[in-house]
Amino acid sequence: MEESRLIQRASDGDAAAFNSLMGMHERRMYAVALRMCGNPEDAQDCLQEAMLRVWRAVSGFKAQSSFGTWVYRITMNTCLDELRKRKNRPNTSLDGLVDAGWSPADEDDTPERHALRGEVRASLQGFIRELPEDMRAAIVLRDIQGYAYDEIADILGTNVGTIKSRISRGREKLREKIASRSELFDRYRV
Amino acid sequence: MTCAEIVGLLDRLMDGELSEEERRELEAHGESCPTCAEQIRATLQMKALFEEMEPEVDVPLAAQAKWRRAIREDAAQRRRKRLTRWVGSVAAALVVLVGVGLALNGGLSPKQDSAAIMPAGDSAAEVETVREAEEADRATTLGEVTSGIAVVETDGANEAPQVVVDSADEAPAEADGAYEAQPVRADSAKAAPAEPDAAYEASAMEADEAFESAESDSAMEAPMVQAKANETDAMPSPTAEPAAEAMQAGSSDAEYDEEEESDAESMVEDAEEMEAAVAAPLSPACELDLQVTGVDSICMIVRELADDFDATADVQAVEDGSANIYVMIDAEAAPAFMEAVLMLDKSEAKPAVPEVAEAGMVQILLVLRETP
Repeated sequence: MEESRLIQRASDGDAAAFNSLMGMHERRMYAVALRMCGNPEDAQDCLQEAMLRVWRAVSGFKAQSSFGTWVYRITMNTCLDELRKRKNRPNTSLDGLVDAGWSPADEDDTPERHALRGEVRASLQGFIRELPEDMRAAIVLRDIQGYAYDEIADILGTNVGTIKSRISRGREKLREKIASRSELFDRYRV
Repeated sequence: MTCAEIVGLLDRLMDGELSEEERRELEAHGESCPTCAEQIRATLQMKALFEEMEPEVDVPLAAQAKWRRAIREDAAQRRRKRLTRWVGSVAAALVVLVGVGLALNGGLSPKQDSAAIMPAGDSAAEVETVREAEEADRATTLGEVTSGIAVVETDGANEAPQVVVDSADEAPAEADGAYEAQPVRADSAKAAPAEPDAAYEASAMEADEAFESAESDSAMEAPMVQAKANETDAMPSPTAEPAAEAMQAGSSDAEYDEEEESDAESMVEDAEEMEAAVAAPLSPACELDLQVTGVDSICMIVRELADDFDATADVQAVEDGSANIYVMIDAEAAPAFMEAVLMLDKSEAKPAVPEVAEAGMVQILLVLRETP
């Protein structure tokens, strides 16, 4: 069934239609939540909360904007709300992020290479998690999720200039952190 | 190229927008500036790593099952609330009528009936008044209710319908203890999302349409809809093994669809039964002949009254300009309904309210004739 019909049914309170519709978006939503929250448990909580928010708001969705963009706006806002609530909680381990959301390793991977890859990936995810939230949101949407600048501006509710600035500064911070651990990252890139 | 200018090029590099000339400039600068060389290297490493991060990530089956269940529970809760409000508004309308009846009843004598009768020309205003009284919040005083509302003489049998709202959460709050499945490997996780789509395509279309038609505005369906909604809410929590349970995250939507479908089917059957009952050539339990002014507009009022009393009214026009209205109503509500209808009669000698000997749903025939 096409998306617009599912949206209409969902707006009328059809939970099965909604679940079917959101089944097409949940993996992207989870990807965003995972990179924003920095661990699978919090990401799954955010995903559930985002789904409920979309469900409760779907009857107000106007067809002129993209449904996907609208969903990711709600997802990102949910993540930012959760992060603000949990501001004072200590960061959880990065272990859960080593495999979740990364492309699979090569078949001829050696154990040493495998361990190195895990460490490098966990480090980068940790650096992303250390970014201020507004920079993190922009970087995640641009460099990981692959959205265009104007789409990101739409999702985050600001203008393209602000988005470009956040992304540029966020990348600069990440560069500095990577450079500070160059002995690790240089080995991986051999 | 200065070190400050490098930053702009690095952003273009990340965005894949670097031209050949810009790339050469970058390399050349890096060869002469170790700090910038480090920045360039870090940018290339960052870009390569970002390319290894997937834009879509498989959701663990337990988490999938959990959000889907949360949506279904929220949907069920909304339906319960909607039905509560609907039944509440019908009950409230009756309270208004009874309240007015109690307040005005003592002031009426048979000879003053004509003063209380609504002039036909005000019928639309009267209907509007009834609606306004319903929509205001229910404890109305006599001052707010105009004389246009039909007077109901309470005889104790006219109680507001008992509203049994199942407020207890029948779906277990969380069978989270059952959802202990470990995150499943990516390839098996991918199988699950396809199931809801297939299940939905196969059965939910039918269920949706049947459900929607059964939910259309028919007063008779409300109590049944409520009962069915309560049954639907008691969705069985999956009781299989944790792993199998998590794997069924997609198919639990199919279970829900099947339940919806069977509920919707029985509601449609009930509605059809009711319609058949009204249309069937039953011999009415009693008949009331009324002289009215403006048969058409009075028919509309009778329909509204029937709605208020949870009854159905089937209007059949007769060639000579009169109308036969077959009303299916609960026997207990019938006397009050007929009293209300009698207020529309304009004849010199009002007919008496006939006795209703039967119990349960009865058919009343109202014959409306134009006042000569």
